[in-house]
Amino acid sequence: MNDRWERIPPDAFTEILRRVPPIPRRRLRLVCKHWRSVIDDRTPTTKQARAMVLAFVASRDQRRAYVFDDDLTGLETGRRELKLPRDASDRGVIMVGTCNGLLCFRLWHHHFLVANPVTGEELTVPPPWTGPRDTEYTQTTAYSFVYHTETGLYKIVHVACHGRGRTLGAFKVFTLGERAWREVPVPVGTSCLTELGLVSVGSATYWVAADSSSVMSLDLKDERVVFVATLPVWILDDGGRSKNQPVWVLQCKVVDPGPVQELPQVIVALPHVTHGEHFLTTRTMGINRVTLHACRLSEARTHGGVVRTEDATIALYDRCHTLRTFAYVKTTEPLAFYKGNDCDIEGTVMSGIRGEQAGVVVRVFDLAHERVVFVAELPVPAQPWPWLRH
Amino acid sequence: MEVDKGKGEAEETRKVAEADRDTVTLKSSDGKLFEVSKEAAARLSTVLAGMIAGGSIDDNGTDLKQIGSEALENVVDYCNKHANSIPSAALISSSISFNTAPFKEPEEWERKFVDRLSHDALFDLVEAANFLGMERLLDVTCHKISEMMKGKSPDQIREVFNIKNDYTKEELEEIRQELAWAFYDD
Repeated sequence: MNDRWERIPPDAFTEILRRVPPIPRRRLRLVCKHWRSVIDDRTPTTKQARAMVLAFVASRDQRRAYVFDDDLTGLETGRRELKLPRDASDRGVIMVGTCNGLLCFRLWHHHFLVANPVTGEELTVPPPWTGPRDTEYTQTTAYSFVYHTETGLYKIVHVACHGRGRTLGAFKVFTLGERAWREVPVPVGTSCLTELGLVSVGSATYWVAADSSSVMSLDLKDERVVFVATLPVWILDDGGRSKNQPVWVLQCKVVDPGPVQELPQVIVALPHVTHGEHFLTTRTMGINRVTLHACRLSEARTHGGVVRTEDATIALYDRCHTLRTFAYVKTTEPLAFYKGNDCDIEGTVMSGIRGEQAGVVVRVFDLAHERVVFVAELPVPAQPWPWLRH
Repeated sequence: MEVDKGKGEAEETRKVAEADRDTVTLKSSDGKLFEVSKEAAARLSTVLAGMIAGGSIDDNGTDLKQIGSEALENVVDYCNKHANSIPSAALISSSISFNTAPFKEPEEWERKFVDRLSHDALFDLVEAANFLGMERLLDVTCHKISEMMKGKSPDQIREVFNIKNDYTKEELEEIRQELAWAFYDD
């Protein structure tokens, strides 16, 4: 009954709401007007911080992270270093993703680590069991760190594919706060090009199938696998009729790798490729020197989707073999709320090696919000692309 | 002189008698009587501690007109259980100042205590705890209610707590969009 909440002393109601972490709490404003006003008036607000670019730099023996404040012009070596948790700066660590200021890593021994660098809180999640060890050599994996806006829960989505067909039997999903990985079965024949990674937006996780052309998605809400689009055709998902739902447009881009030996190779920065008005790219200069560049997105759009290379160098990293970009905000989003998952699942998996090749970039463009939400890179095909006109 | 001395003695005896009695009697709004350990009541409730110290405890049942018998039974049950449990280090050192202190995790027995309550009983207990100034019990009950919200969509929360959605579709969409892009857009 509604009056139950109206009878409850305001102080007690505030206490209840304060126990929900700030970001999930914002979502409770959707419940009813009374709740919204209590949340707005009586609980600390989360400042809607501007997202910063985070560069995760892997060298042979360690990992470092750097953040860029608003200004994406001019070169400053590296920019401000963000202190990583000790385990996350080891060699072999892969950064899975960021959500609401929380960072998710995959450690060398295949555990996952979720950390908030502001509060220093950490949470370790053991890897899912993905089959007997002898399949390791034919197995590739991909993962994604997701904030499910509907329920306010954080999830790690994990997929392991087998053999040359890259088929998979199930997605494994770990919800922070729960005790074990959960299996989400998928239709027979589902496959995934793990080297392109998984990208999650809202409540869905997207990937490209082994045919290199079908974009699929798994909706974490109803756990259904759906075919989204065939690359490389432009697709206006529902013809732009619905104003309420984001309209997905699939777009292909060709990155000009340049004459390979002479010029440095330009690669779209992944997975965080657009930042505000900027489009991020990286270049490898000589041995182990990588630079990060930002060019104006508006410009990139006007040139038929071909990414221009006349852009500003914003950072330079020596002794770096891989540079990945993420969006980062400073928050005090607590992790204690999600503790209590001391599960003891055994088993480890081998990670797929990601080939950093220039090629086709797939972008899912959210028209409603004018931003790119999904980017994947396809290897350069042997055949010339007949659809380059797009 | 003598009269004064006699009065002093009488006071002394009364004090002894009071000290001897280690329970207080509480009366619910519907007239039911409950006994509770004086020590626990004073320790757990700022309001009861004040009444005990101020001598406004009635041996025939201190009237608590705002609290129904079911809620008072739970309050008393909680106090008595608390008196029997060994207070943890966290509790002894706790001087919870609202709004700043990190939350103390409920102990196992406290969890069980609130888990068995119906929704109505739980909400009544929040009210009673608030009225009696029982910070710890308020903590435990609020914790339980916040746990009930964990991982639920707004729809599910409305269902669980029986709340009517008083938003229009457009209003909901507006709030939803604020949420979705809170941390991503520039």
